[in-house]
Amino acid sequence: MIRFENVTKAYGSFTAISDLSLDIHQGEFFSLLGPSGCGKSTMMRMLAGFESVTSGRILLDGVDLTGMPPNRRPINMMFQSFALFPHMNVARNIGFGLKQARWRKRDIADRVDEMLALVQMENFADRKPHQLSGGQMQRVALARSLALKPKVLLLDEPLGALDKKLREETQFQLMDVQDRLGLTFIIVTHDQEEAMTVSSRIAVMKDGKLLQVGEPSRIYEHPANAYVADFIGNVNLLPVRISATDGELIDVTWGNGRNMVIRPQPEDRLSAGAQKTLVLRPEKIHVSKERPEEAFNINMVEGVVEEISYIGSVSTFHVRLDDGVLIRAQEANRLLASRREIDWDDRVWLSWRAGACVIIES
Amino acid sequence: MNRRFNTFNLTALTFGFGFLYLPLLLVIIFSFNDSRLVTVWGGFSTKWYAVVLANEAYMEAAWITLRIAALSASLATVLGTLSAVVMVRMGSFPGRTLYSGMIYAPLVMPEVVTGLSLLLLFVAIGIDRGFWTITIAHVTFSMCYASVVVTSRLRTFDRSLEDAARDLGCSPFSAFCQITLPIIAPAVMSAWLLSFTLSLDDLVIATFTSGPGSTTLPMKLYSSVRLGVSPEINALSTMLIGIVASGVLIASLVNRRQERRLENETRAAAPA
Repeated sequence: MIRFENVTKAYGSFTAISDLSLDIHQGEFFSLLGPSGCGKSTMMRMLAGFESVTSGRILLDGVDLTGMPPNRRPINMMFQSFALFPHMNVARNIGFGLKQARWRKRDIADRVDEMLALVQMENFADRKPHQLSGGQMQRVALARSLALKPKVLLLDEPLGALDKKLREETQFQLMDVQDRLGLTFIIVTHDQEEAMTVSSRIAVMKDGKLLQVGEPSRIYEHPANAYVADFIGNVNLLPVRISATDGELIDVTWGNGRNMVIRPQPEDRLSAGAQKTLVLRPEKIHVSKERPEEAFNINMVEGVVEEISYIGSVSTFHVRLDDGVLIRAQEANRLLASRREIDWDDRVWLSWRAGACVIIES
Repeated sequence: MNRRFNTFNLTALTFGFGFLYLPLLLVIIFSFNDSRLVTVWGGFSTKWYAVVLANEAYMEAAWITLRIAALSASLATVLGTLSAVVMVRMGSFPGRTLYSGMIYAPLVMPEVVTGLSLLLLFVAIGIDRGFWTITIAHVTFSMCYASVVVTSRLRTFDRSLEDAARDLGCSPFSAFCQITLPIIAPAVMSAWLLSFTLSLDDLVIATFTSGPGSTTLPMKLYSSVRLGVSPEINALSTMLIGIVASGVLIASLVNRRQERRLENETRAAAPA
């Protein structure tokens, strides 16, 4: 539906987006995720029409958008600051786009009521923006940007101005609205958790390039490279050498000649002797004081707890192995913290299954 | 309390007030003087106001002055606002430094120089000097003040509001008229009032650019004073002081109200 074709955007000698191609489909909740300055906002502003494309082109339903000003594109945007017009009340804010499109007064009023109902703000039609809370402003901004029935809605860090509790609530509200209207939503965010929660697909960006595009679970479980693995959540990245490649489980060596069995992906093309990086997520590692039972598909190592960070639901253990490698492992706090069995400087066993880790290029 | 109202502070305050307002106060007091002699108090009276209001030459000068002030303030506000938009919005363009220099130059340029250069211009292009030349001359210097006032407001204006308007279907011009202008209206208003009082005050530039039949009130006042100070001049001056003071007062009140509202809005717009 939306297609970026070899899009490049340069500001003088600085290249914000370089030769980027991307397809976004009808009805998707698509996230552009990356650190600040990665070009994600530039992508959105080019799509909305506030920035021109230096080379390449952007197509919407096969129509080239190049040179089309923002007021002519069937795309609307929700701004990070919400950008509600302070001198207009909620109803006039929502009806603003309809008035520009010269809708009849009656039709505007009906559509505004419909949008107010959609975001559950029926009782606030006469309020001015400065009389609303952050969450209410966000909902008005959403209603305003949906009033014109755009084909695509762009959301620029839509929840950045809200506190954490409200953010979670709003995430689900956004997903609900998107689901009900069947629109294409494109969200720009630097918050990986937010991107994982709301989107059907994520594009991870860095320095104006796409690193990986895929479903949240794909990006989390099978990152394309070390940067993506590290950007999305916590991770242990271990350099490994493939020692045997035959069979369903293969052997790799890591650390000081330590051995590990892993279950490779069908698409991994591994050859013996190759140097790779192993991605092992902390929550996939079990921490115990007793040595776990031996099994052919379980890896286990012993080390000393160096640090415990407690964040309520889970605790992360920093465990230093005897050969100096540091591994982070995460355990759900099934017991009260005061009853925790593992403490600083304890010797513990770390264990994980062969299928819990993936191999990526170094 | 003593720290605020000690002798030193009070002395400083007295001197400050004295230097600023004592001369004005004298003019105001003696405008209500019953006596013909300017500096001898002869009892309270408003008769000099009646004399002034009955003097057709004064009234005509006042009428011209007000017309010039209103017209030049309006033109200056439009031009000043446009130049503020250019300065804040266009980023860098060739000649930007020159442009901003030219905007601020009249603020520091001696009035005599401005007046003289305008006079030379009008003579060179052969316009008859009079009402219009004074108006144009006033626009050239008061638009700088207007521009400064509007620029400072535009700098804090959230660009995304205009982007949002464009996103919802406005052309750049229509977004400016429907969104930006109403929001910065108080600043534009105070720019107008400032330009208005500046034009009302001006003697030097008006002297250079006026012609026959277009004597402004300050010019009239000045030429009368040269023939001797009469009590009616006190009355006239007091009226001028009143107009100018209320202009400045309204401008600052409008500005302060706007600042307070802006503060409320930003506080409301920034959730904890």
